[in-house]
Amino acid sequence: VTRIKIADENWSTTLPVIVKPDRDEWLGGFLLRCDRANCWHAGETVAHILQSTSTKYFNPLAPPPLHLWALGQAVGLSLTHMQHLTYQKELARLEGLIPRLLLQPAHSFLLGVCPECIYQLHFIEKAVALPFSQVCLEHELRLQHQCSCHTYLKLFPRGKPPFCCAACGLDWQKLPHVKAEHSAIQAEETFRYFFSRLFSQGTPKRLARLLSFIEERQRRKEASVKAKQPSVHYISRLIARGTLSLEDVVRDLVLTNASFDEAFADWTNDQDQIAVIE
Amino acid sequence: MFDDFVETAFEKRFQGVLQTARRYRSWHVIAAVPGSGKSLGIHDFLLRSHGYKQGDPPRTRLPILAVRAPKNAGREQVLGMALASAFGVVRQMPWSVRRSWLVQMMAQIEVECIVIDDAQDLSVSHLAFLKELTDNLAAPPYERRVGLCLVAAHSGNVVPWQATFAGPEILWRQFRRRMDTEKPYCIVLGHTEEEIRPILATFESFYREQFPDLQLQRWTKPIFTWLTNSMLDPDSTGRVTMDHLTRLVTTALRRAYEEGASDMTPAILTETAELMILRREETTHIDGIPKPSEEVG
Repeated sequence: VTRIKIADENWSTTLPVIVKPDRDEWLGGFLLRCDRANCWHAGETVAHILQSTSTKYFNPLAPPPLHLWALGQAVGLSLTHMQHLTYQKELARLEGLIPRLLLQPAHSFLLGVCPECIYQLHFIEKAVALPFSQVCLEHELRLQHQCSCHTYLKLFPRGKPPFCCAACGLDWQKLPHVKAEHSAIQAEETFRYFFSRLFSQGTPKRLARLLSFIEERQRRKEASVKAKQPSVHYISRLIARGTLSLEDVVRDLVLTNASFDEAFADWTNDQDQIAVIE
Repeated sequence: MFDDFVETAFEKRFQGVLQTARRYRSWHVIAAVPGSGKSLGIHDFLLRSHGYKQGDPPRTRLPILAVRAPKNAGREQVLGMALASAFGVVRQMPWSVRRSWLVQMMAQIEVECIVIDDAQDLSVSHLAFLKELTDNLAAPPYERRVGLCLVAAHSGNVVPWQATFAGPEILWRQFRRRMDTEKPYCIVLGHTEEEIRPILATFESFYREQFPDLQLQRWTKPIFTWLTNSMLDPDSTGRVTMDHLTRLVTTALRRAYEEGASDMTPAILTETAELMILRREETTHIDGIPKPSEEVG
């Protein structure tokens, strides 16, 4: 849908000003853009979603489909359009053998924004939702997590304008523009590469293979092969928590100096097919 | 029931005033007798104003902001809520915030004219709020003048609010100053005999499939005479309202259809007109068991 006309049924069920997501935009930033376009305080669009779905909590990192559907209704777009604002679809593709797969636990997420992206487009890249994200590769600037007044950035500060500090009201576009060091850019590229491979080529079977591969590498590294069978480590972690965080997987992958190509050196597409049939 | 919009002579006159208000950002009180087609005309005017919402880049355009006056609720907040609802979903916010939000949004979505239907139901606080709202829009930073049409049902030759605005209080003097110089108070008249002829022609083409031989235009004169009877035209305007005309034609056509006729018969038309004029206040006693075809559901 490109335009909603006044005669259309959804005129009255959409926001006064609708917003279309940008490519690679993150849900949290998109919600703030909706607030901004409608001259609302930060979090009003979320409040509308919660009210229209009769729910109480909103998680911008892992929203349930109901919340994305309600957001789609509010901006006149489909659920599929809204799913592009998160990594939920990519996680769902990997999830088959694991009960609950997360990018990272919500409590470990620290909001970081690129002041130049805010200045130019009021844009927050989807990659900020990835664990370890510290650098905006577009502008080669360090993501800012704190305001100049030392307050951590809050996505939806109550009663404050969008894209502003919860404490002093400083516009996020005025946060320090700190050039990222070459090493930080390299590290960012490495993490992003791992995630992009996981998301573009990952299957439940491949994820299982990757976990055992990392364990194998860890075992070798630690020279503690004796008692443990491959993948016991991850499986016990899974049993204990009921969830697996990709933050852990990618960290371990980097720490063991492993690569995707090594993990899948002898992998054939047939093995993915088997996974699907299973 | 016929409920399509027909651009009648009344609608052309009525929408002409609305169009003037939009173009010149002028203020008018527009009155017409009940059943003239004011609300349908406003609805059509709104649809043809090309309001839209687009997401990329985010932009909403609503040149005509049309709402119905709140009933039995004199507080300004209720009118504010009605205006806000015209934009889409409404968020809860304190009234002090909503006041300034409305001004901000009306400037952003480029409102050119506010139309209040059933304006005879407005209260003094509603009117004071409308003045404040439009004054704030006209002031910096928005500097946006908007037209205002208070569309009201009237009776006799009295235009609602005209006597009130003539009052000596400051508020009414301010209101008076904002009203259009040439046509501040308008009464839009119903249809003359000549004007109902093309409407009957429209009905003919609309019902041609069910009535291949339908010729309604030849009944123009008797229809006009019936519908300007003092029972239907108590103010003796000598004009016909669209509501009466539609009722007469559709009721008569339904009866003709039930009799299997391919055209309107004078008997059916006369009988229907008498029903509307002479037996208008008649009470019908409902008794017995309906035939299967008459049963509801």
